[in-house]
Amino acid sequence: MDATVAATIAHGTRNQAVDDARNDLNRLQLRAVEAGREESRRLVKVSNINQETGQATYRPAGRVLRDWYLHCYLNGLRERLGHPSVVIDAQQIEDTAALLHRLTPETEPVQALRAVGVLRNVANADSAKATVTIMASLRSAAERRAIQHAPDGRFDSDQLRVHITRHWYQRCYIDHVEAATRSQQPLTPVTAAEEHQVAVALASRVARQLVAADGTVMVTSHGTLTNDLDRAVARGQVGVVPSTVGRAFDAPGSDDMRTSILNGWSRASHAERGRWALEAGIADLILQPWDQLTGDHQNALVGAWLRGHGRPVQEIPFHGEPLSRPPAEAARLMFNHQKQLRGFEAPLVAAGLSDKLGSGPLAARAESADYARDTPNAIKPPNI
Amino acid sequence: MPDTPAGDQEPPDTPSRWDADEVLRARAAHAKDQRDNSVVDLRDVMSDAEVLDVFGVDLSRLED
Repeated sequence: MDATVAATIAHGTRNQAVDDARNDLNRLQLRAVEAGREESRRLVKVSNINQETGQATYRPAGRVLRDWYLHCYLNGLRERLGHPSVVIDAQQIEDTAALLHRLTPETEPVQALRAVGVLRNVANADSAKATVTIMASLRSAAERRAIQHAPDGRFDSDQLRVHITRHWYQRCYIDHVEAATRSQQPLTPVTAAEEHQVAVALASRVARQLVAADGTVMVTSHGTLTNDLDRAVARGQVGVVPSTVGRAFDAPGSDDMRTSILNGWSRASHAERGRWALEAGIADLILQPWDQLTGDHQNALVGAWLRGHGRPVQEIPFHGEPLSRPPAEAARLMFNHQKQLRGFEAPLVAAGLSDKLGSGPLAARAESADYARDTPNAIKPPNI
Repeated sequence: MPDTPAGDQEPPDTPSRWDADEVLRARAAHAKDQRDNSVVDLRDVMSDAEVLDVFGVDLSRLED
């Protein structure tokens, strides 16, 4: 496969995955909104029916609270799914409580305030639970769409390329939805450098590990090897960046580094200078005083010093280890996915309802068992 | 009842091994705890029947 063709396939797969993820997320969000509307009607009654007389009266307070719930739920859902949203702040709570108290003058102000607070928190909890359900459904959808995107017969049935493309699609799809839901692990967003490595793998038919076992991506956005320092910073550790690196950008720091190198060279024994020169790749260097070395030799020695004295080895170009496994397994390991993407094994209907938080009306309606039937342009299996 | 938006009180998302689904579940569990606590606060000042009669809110639905 030509390198240009491979790059086009990698880029096109990424774009398709992102588009599909965005559309699926929007569709499920709409369904969650409908579920929220129904829940608001079940949770808050806007009319009061006297059981003795059968007379129905309108309850304005119920109308306010129902709309308040829906307002909080919709904005909570938008915020959790990566859309612009209105922040439900204390002012809104107070204003709504004041309005509610005017409509129910027989109540104490604190009763109205706490009722408003309850509805706000109920809406927040419902939107959070809906997000969990949506995410589970999207993970299932990613697998099915990945297989659909690269069926077994693609690339003249070259299974390594088929599986690499599937897992790359899945990677890009999940990357988008995790970013939208702010649940993404640091140092894991898809980058152009990673896309380039996928293209290289497709062209060369050599799968190389791109995502490590801890979930971090092994190639940085600059195409270099991710190192332990990168991972530590991504985990939020402090104090891991060597202080000499920071000083290197300041004038005093440069003097310190220069002084260290000059003193280090002058004080080094003949054998130590020899090792230093060997690390710098100039083994045939005549071990003269520093000021008698050529500029190229000095630069090489400085580079070797930086590599060994605190400057992170971020300049190492990425060369992943080849994965000598069967195609499906190699592709899975390449992206550290949990399972292989073999054929169309998943059920046609969406799976993944989270049971850990209970079924609940919103969880059931946000992703009904008939997702494939109810959703326009639903995910359909390929014709076999 | 806290007067700050619920979103400001989310738990830290720093699991030992990153699991995006677990991050979302933790947020949902935290939101549920806030919900339950606010229901307790409301029940301190009103009975469920009063809440339903005055405000139209059916708190029994939250037990589902």
